[in-house]
Amino acid sequence: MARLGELEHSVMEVLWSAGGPCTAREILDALPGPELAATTVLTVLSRLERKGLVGRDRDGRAHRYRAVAGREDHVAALMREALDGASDRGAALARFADQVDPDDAAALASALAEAVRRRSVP
Amino acid sequence: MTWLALVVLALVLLWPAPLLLARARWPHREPRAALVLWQAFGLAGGLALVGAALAIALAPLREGLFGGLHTVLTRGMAGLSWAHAGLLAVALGLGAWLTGVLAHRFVRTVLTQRRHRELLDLVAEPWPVKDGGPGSGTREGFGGDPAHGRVLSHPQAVAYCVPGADPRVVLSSGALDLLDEAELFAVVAHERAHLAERHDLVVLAFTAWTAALPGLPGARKARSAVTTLIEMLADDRACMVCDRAALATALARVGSAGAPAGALAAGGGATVARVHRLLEPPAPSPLIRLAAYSGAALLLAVPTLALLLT
Repeated sequence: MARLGELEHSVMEVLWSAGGPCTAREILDALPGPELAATTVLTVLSRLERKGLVGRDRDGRAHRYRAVAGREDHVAALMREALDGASDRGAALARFADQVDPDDAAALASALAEAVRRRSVP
Repeated sequence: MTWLALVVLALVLLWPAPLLLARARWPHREPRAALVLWQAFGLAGGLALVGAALAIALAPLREGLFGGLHTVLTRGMAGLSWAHAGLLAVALGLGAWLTGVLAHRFVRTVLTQRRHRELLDLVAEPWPVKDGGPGSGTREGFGGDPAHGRVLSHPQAVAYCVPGADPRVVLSSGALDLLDEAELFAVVAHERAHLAERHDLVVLAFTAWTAALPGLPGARKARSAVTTLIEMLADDRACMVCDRAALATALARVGSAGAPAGALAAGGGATVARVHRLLEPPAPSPLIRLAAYSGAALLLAVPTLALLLT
């Protein structure tokens, strides 16, 4: 499983840096490290497709694969989930600190200054 | 008359008791005892509610709870009027509803965590390991298991964990830029405390309770109070290995960073309370602790014994 996870990571890296749709062959050639079996790459691609991360288009006799969304889009989605104040919060993800409103932020800033002062005096 | 006691207990635990406990000041002094008391409220409340309905429904059979249920299962509802049979159905339905919602929430949460973790592993970088150079030891893994650490490259400062059998501790690059080494160590110690004590499961139970009984103010109060209490518990556990002031400054920094007002500021009050609690720790109280644990034990014992002995 861990190995498949790493391969998924590498394949996504290839697709993100390619800038356009790639055939399985092109992906295989672009993957770093020892050459893999073509079927392994196809397995990884179908797993990524099932997860909704990779799209597949027919191009003549070959299939071309593309990343459905850029890495930044996925990062933004994860950040949204992490920052989301929805009712399930705490159960699925545990956020370290909730965002405070500007008034509280000002109050915290003075408490913070006090704390920093104390830390500098051991 | 057992059923009357159960009805009263259920009503007290569903309405006034949670409102009182949510308003009390002492839980911040003894968060673990308060958390146990909240759990006792929920469990005893559910037991009393379902138990009271069962006891009333089965009363005409005069065989107690288990005898009555056995009779109904083996010989049907011949001895019950329509009203009693209806109430029996309501009681069993309520019990099934409460456990069903809990199971549904659990599965949904596990799926959400798995999807989040898979995407995280694809797009996030592993823990930065600074090798060489004096004083780099603490930064290596920030004290956590490096295999679980991930960094999301995003300017907004965020730190969180994805609980589960294969957990993750996530920092954004914004958080790495914002916090110094002692603060990062404190943040990771806090998240690891959540993971070690599986606080997610406690919150899950209260989230399910709120979802199962919508519109009940007691359940909402309970969830919000429990969410704050587990943060304080994680703060306390983190302070056993990290610097208390560093944890406080990390909290204040991450809480104030960005600060998009509105919906996102929903839990801000808890963050402020946590910072003050870390800067001026309230004295623990063995007396309050004892009272809370005894109260919790009593709350669980009363409906259980009432149901077993009738």
